[in-house]
Amino acid sequence: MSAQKFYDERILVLEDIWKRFPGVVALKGVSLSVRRGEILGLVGENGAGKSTLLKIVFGIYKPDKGRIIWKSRETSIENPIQALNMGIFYVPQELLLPPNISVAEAIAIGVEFHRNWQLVKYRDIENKAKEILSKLGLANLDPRTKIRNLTAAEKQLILIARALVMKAELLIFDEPTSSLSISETQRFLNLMLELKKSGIAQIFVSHRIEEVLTVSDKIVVLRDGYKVAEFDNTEKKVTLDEVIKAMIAKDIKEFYPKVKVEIGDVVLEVQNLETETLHDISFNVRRGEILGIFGLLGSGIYNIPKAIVGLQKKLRGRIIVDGKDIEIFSPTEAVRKYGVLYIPEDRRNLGLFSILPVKHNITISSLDLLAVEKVLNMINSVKESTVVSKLIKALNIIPPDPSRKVAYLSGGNQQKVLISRAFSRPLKVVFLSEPTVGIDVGAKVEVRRLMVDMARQGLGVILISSDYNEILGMSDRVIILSRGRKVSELRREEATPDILLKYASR
Amino acid sequence: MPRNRGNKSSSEKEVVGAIKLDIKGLLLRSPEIGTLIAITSLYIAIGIVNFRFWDPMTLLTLARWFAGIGTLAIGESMALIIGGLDLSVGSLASLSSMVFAHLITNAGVDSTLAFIATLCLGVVVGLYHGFIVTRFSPPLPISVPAFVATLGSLFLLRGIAIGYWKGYPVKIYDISKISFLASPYGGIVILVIIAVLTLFIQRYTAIGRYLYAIGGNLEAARVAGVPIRNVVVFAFVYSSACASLAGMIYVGLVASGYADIAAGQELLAIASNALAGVSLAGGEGNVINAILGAFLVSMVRTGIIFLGISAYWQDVTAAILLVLAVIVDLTRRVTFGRA
Repeated sequence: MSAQKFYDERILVLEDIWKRFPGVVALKGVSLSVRRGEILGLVGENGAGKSTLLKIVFGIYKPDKGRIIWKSRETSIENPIQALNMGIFYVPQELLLPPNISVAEAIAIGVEFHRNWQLVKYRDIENKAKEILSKLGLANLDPRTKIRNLTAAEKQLILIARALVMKAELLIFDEPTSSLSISETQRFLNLMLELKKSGIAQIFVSHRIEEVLTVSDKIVVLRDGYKVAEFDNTEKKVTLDEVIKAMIAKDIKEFYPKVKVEIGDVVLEVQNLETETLHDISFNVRRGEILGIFGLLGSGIYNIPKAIVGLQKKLRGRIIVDGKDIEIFSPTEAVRKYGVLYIPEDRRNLGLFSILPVKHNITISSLDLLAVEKVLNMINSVKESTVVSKLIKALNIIPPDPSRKVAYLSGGNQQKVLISRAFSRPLKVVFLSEPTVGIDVGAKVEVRRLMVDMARQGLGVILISSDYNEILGMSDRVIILSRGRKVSELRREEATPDILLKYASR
Repeated sequence: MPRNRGNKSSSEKEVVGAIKLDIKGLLLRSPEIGTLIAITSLYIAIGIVNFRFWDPMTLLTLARWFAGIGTLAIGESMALIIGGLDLSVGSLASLSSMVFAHLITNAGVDSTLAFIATLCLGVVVGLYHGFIVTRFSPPLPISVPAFVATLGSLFLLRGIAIGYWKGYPVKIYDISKISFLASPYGGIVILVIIAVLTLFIQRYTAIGRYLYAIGGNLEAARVAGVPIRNVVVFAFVYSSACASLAGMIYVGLVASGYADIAAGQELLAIASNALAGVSLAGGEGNVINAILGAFLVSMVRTGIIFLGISAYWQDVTAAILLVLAVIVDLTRRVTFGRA
């Protein structure tokens, strides 16, 4: 087989794939192909159909219509096990590995033990693991380390090691860099290029379009279940603008729709806050102001609201709301008594009730106001429905169905449901922790617009983010944290990306 | 195109194509229908084998025992919805039957007062469970401390019921004192009242919403400002109060208190819920599911006697029902991605 032929062979071809779910058509006749040694970038807003497409390739869903051609033979992929046997390996966004087994075992499970009764030859699997890990640049990781002691980046490499052991020919990465630091991301992208050299085909799905642009040979853009564009990135470099334009139907004039809002008096003041991870943090926020809190991973920024609303133990420090010294023991008190709401960063685990309907998710923090106290706290359903339908409309939650379970919404719409809580009752201060993580470009702008709306209503808005562009674009004032300490406070005019990163990485 | 929910699922059916898979999907989506089908077909099937099963008197006897199991299952549903578990309801019902009968026969207390006092016993036990669970819950899912605390009570309450009366039952000689409970419809009336009240709480009140929120995602409920401790305590108190009621319903049936009258029925209560759609993982199902499940379970227990199987085999049927219930619940959760 000549080198030319080797690189030209299409390993996977999808033709006219359709997939329908109750109430929504997720894929509308999508066709694409991947060659050996090619990296295919797959981008699109949330709900565009990327995940559905990946799941079809990995055998989790079956397409309603369309052909799947694997190595020039038409096949149907019935389940993930079949996909693995065929040589397709899926690295999910959330890396689920049993925490109490060793690295060597994690790599060997299901690969080395061909027969169920075979005894584990630890020395063999450890040597094998070592060999593969050193190929992936993890030579000094002891194969006997337990999975729970690994970082997200290392876990990802373990999964890739598994894929190599299983002789995977097509690797699918679903948002692989979302939990990696900047240097880890760089290393990961280099690894992708290495894998490409050994002839492995890869599909790369990410919201970080710049990353997709740096490594992909081909970029396919999905929107609303249609394939709207395919770019060849090998000859001429595709630009970010081209891709974004294809991704979003309407032109987004302002990525950061910041509006000047009149700033009032101080509504929340925190003095010398001290917890196990935070040291001597002081700041204040005024009505109508957006205060940005910036810090890199591990800086402790996410712990600030937790300590203030009573989710984490506070060792010292004063909290002053509206000039009154207060003590908050629980989030219930924070919301009901003092009007301080925390909208958490981890939408799935800390934010939403995915098995409950949209309506219940929106009003969960305001039921005390919607209930008729005299009758067993009965909820005034007329009032509730009015509030809910108003918010669904105002926040443009799609589909606008209050009884749909949140699990069936796209990421961006889930985030809007979560944020709608801030509008469901009168408040004074809102903490928004990473409000735009993992959602598409269009939804990001919508969420940022909502942030401005909150400020306009006279709330003190505290935006906690590790995305410096967002902090710079939205905040009136920025405080920067590093290793649990406040290292700087800047006005909007003074802040630049360089200064932010310089302080944050101290 | 405006479409209601039913149509949406039917459009999915067209896509899936196979009718067989469809029925499975429908049953999994609305477990009430599945349970109703099971009830109807069992009723017909057992009756074909033994015509006396269709006798209205059989149905009445079945309904009177069902009143007890149903009340237990309704209480249990509260503990299950918050993602907890109450293993003590059988023992508590037994102890309540003893206390109720003792108060009337030995202490000569007026039956209304005895009723209230027994209910208070349930409330106190529930408060104790709620206290333990909320005290030790934070780093754990609720089911872990709930399992341990209520398992302890399972033995503690049964031990008291046997120990205090030295294993003897307490007979009520003057049935007229408990004429309401002893009447054929007494238990059913209580069951209906409790069912309506529970449905109202679960569907239309703030505390009902909080129950589902806690069971759906405990951490998210905490962040959203749900008063977790109060709601968890409420759920356990409700469960225990229902257990005490069930104990008194049984007294009405046999005119005595027995220390093992409801022994092991916590498993029937759990099976009733899980069979008919109250998820063991929390956050799903309501009182209607619990009642349908309880009726199915009661019918199976009565039905085996009509099939000529000795009543001594009832524990075996209970075990089969429980395992079946867990399988049904797991299948449902796996299908909807909540395993």
